[in-house]
Amino acid sequence: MRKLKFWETIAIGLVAVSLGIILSLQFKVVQNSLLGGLVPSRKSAEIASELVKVREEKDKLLMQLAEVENKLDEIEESSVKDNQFLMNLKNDVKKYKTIGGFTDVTGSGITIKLDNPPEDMTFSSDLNIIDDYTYIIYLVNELKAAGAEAIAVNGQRIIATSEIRQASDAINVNSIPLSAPITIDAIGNPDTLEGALSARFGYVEAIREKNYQIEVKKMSKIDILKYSGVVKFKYAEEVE
Amino acid sequence: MKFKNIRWLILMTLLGMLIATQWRTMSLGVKYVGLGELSNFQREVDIEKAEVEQLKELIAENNDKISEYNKAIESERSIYEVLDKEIKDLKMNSGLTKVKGPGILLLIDDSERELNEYTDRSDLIVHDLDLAHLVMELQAAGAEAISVNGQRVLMNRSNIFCNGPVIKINNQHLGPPYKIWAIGNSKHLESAVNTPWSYANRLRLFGLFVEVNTKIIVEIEPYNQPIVQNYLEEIKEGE
Repeated sequence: MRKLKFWETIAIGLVAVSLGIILSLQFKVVQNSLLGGLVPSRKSAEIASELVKVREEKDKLLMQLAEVENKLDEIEESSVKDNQFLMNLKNDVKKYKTIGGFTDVTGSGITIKLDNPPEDMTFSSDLNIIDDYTYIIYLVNELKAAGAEAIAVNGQRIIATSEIRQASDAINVNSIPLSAPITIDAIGNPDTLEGALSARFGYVEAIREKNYQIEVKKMSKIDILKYSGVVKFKYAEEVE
Repeated sequence: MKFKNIRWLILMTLLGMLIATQWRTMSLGVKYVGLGELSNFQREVDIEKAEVEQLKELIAENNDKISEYNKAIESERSIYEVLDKEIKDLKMNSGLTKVKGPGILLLIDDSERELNEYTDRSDLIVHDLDLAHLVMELQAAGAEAISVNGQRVLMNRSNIFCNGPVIKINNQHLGPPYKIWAIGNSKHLESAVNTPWSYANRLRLFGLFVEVNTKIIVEIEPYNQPIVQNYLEEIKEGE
C-alpha cells in the first residue's frame, strides 16, 4: 500500500474527528440519567391523547352526575313536601351528610402548602415529599387535635375511613394518587390551628429543617369540597 | 488505488448518515420531552382515571336512590323508610353506629427485653406515632371500622397523642397493652400487619410485643365524643 500524502492524512483525521463528535452527541441525547433523559415525542403524544380522552369522559360523567343529582333532589323535594315529619327527616339526612363529610362546606381555617425543596439549590437533593408522606399523616393528626372540623388533602376530603398511604411514586388519599405540591386545607379556629402547627419543635419546624418548603396561611374563608367517592361497607354491619 | 476509494466511500457514507441522523434529532429537538415530564403526564392520566371510576360509582349510587324513591313514592310510609335508611347509612359511614363483622385483633405491648447499654428505653415502649402508623396501615388495607382499647378511631376526627405514660385517643387516656380491633377483609388486614416491610413488623424487630389474631366476629363501639361544628358551614346550593 502506498504511503498517504500529507493532505490525505489530514482529511482522514478530520473525518474521524467529526465522526467521533457526532457519535458522542448522539449518545448524549439518549444517555442522560433516567428521569433527565429524553424520549421521542410520539410517546408523550400518546399520553396526551389519552389524557384528552379521559378528561372528555370525565366531563361527560360530571354532566351525567349533575343531571342525576338534580333528578334525585327533585324527587326528594316533591316526596317530602306538605309533610312536616318527612321534612324533619330530610333535614336530619342533611345534618348527617355534613357530619360525615358528604357536603361542600365553608368556614374560617388554614391552608398548608407543602412542596419539595426548590430545584435550584446549590447542592441538589433527592428529597421527595412522597417518601416522607408520614409528615402528612402527622400534620393531619395535629390538625385534628387542634379542633379541625373538616380537612382536605389536595382537594380530597378526609372522612372517617380515608387512608393516607404511599403507593409507588404517589400518595394515595381516598385511593386517588396525589403528588407534590401538597395542599392541606382545614376548617376550624385559624389561630389555634396555626399555633398548633407552628409551635416550637412542632412539625412545621421539623419539616422545614428537612429542607422541604412549607407555608401555613390563616384564611378567613376557605371552601372544602365533599367526599367525591362512595362509601360501601362490605364486612361491617350495624348492631342494634 | 481502487481499495483506497472503497475505504473513502465507506467513511463518507458513514459520516453522511450520522450527519443526517443528527440533523433530524436537532430539527425535531423541540418535540423531545424529558422522562420526568412524561411521568408527571402519566400521573395526571392516572388521577383522572381514578376520578372517573369514582364518578361512575357516584352516578350508580344516585340512580339506585332514584329508583328507591320511585318505588317508595306510592305510600308515605315507604318514603319514611327510605329516608330512615339513608340516615342509618350516613351514620354508619361516619362511624356513629356500633358495628360488627369479620376482622382482626392486633395486640401491641411494650417490650420485655432487658435494657442494655446500647438501647434507649424509649425504643422499648409503644408511642403515639406507632399507634397512628398501625391504624393508618389497617385503614389503607381497607378496614371499615377500627378501635383502640374500645375507642373508635375515625380518620377525620380521632387524634392520637402521647400524654406521659399513656396515650390519648378521642381525649380518653389509654394504657398498654393496646388492643386494636379492625373490621374488614381479615386476610388483607392480617397481611398488612405481617408483611416484612410493615410498620408492625418493624416494631416486632425492635422487640415490641406484636400479635395478630383473625377473628370471626369483631364488635366495634361508635364514636362517643361530641361533634363540634362551630366554624363550619354548609355551602348552600346556588351560592
